[in-house]
Amino acid sequence: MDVNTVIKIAGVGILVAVACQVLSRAGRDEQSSLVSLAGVVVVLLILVEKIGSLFSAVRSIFGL
Amino acid sequence: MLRIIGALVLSAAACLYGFFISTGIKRKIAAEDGFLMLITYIKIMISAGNMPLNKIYSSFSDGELERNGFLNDLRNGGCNAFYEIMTKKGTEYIADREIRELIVSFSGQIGACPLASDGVRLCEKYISLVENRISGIRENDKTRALLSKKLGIIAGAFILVMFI
Repeated sequence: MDVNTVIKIAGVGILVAVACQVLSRAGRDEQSSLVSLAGVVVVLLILVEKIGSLFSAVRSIFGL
Repeated sequence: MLRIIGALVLSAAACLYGFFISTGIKRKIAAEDGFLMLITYIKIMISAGNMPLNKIYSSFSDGELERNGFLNDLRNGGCNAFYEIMTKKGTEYIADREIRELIVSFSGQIGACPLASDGVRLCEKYISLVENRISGIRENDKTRALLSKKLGIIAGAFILVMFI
């Protein structure tokens, strides 16, 4: 996994954390939890390709 | 290179949209304050010099009501201009339905007061009604304005992170 992906995920994490703080301080806890959920989904979308390649690597190593 | 420029443009658009929404809410707040000032001004001018309404309208000035064109329409209209403008274009000037209905009701009644004391009483009644309504929604409006600005900036940063 290249460093760019790690930095991108870290950036998303920071922004989602800031957005959650801003929303919860404004008394919008529901939107805050939705934003954190959206952050998780975005990170999973970034990672889904890498997870797929990990599984195929494991499969080829063990000859499955 | 094009990718970076596109990301920057999208990011700036998201930030500016947040600022645009925030400015809209602030202008709405300023317009509500302007109408409250107008009623207060009408009350003061009636109680001080018993001036006719068209002279009161022409001497009144407020930044936001000048900008949105309300005062221009008011000065160029007839003696019943306030009511006519509010019934025709009320939604352009005041977003909150309850405040708009109060102002429409006030504008319909202020021209029909035969005595100065009745006019002053009417103004006092509507000032307190509008102030009550404004105090109920003002905090929420200020929070929304601040929130949309902050979320616009966060959305811009998010787009930048995702596309670069």
